Amino acid sequence: MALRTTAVLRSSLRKWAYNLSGFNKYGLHRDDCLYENEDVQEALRRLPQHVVDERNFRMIRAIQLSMTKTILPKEEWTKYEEDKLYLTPIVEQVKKERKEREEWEKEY
Amino acid sequence: MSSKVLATPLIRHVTTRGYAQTAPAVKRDARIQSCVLPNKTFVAALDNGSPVARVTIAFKAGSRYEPQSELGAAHLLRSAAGLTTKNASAFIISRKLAQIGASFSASGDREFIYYTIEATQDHLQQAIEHLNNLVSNQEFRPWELSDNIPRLRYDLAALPPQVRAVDLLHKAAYRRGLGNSLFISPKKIGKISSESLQHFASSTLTPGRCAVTVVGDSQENATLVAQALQLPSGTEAQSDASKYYGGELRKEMGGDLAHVALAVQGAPAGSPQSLALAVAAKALGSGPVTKWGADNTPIAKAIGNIGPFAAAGFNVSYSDNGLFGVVLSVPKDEANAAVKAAGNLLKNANLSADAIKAGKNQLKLQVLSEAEQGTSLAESIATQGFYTGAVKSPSDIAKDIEQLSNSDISQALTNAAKNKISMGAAGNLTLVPYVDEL
Repeated sequence: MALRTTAVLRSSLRKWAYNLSGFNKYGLHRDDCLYENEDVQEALRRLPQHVVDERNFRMIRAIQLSMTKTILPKEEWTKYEEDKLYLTPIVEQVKKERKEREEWEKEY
Repeated sequence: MSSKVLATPLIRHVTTRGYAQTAPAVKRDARIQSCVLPNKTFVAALDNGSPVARVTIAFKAGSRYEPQSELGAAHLLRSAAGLTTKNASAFIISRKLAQIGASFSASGDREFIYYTIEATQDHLQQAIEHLNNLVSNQEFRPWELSDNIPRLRYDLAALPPQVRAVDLLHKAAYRRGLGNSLFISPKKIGKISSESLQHFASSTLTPGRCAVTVVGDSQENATLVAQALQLPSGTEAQSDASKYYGGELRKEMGGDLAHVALAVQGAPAGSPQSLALAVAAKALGSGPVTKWGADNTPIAKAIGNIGPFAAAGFNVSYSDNGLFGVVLSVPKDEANAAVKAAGNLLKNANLSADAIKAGKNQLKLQVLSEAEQGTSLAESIATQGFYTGAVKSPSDIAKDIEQLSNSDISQALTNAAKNKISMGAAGNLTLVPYVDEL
């Protein structure tokens, strides 16, 4: 019972923090905000084209909104439940491959 | 002083013992052993004591099994060998192979694909492990396939026009199945998706279509290699029996030379006719035997003195069909006469006993010298396993060649000549006659 309460509490805490961070008001997803280092660039190359297109659209829309100092109407905000991590798993894979490479270079 | 050291009894004892222990040279009787595993994988091994071991894993996954909507999948499959699989990443595969000094190659023909690894005996176990990682559970990640596109373009750009002519000849002769090109068409590059390649691989790289051959190690180890493979077992790709239609295809490419391949229907692999036609192909001639020397072969005599040209007889046999004919490269202005002469020779082939004898000797030399090269031996053992389910040693094949009589060969030749001629031509075709003008 206690465990369940904690789980519920944790997810609502997450949701609260998510809404507080504010990027969802621009219609962005979490993975749109990743800093584009080399790993992320490689991961982006591996995405199917339509996913990249959607991401670019969200980013351009966010820049436009930011320039006009407005945010989306509330019903268009990204919801926590709808924010799927489309890039992070691929970034993790890229990182793993890089680690493997570095490990090898160190040994031989 | 130093000479005294050798005089001590202990050392003398050791040296004499050492010499006495030298093992007498034993003549090893290397025989090819083969069997079929319960999962229908064909396994063969030749333990010839070579310091370099070769392991070939072959599949019935050549271009004849490509679906008509995905032509070029076989080329893509062989080009994708060494990319990341579920078991290991492309990076680790290549580095680890380099570390043990092994060499890996993937090659293919119209019926089969061969994954072959060469390694020294002391690193053989590791090499086999990497080979297993390479072949099992291939993933074909889309971004790796798109990174691989320049290699496909290079393959195509590096194709000699003679190869194109023979490829067109197959297309003309069989249309589908065996007629499928060995190479992806430039328009299909990048258009075959990872999913369709995965589908092609999972329907062709199955245990029932697999042969494992080892040259330089024991049969038990070959069986272990076969059992360790993690292969999908699903619906298998089917290929219709290849029918010989006959026809002609030409590809105008410009240049100074015309490359023409002419052929009639040959015999399927494993049949005595196919061996007879192989002798006949050699007897027709394969260029001068000395460098810059005179070409005195029947085909060269038939074409006559038209300036520099190259002509050779050829015979290919597949599991249910074959082609027998000639390939020639001639200067564009002499193409008309030369191609007509070659066509005539093919229709009314009449080989003298001397030519047949020379052909037999040349074919024997070719069979035996190819057997000296371990990689081609490992691959040809796999091919034989697929075609006939049994393996003949190269010396047995040489004996079979010797036993062919002249009448067998002329008979096979006349039977083949009854069929319609097919033609594939590439290069400058201004004066090359069409096949019905031969």
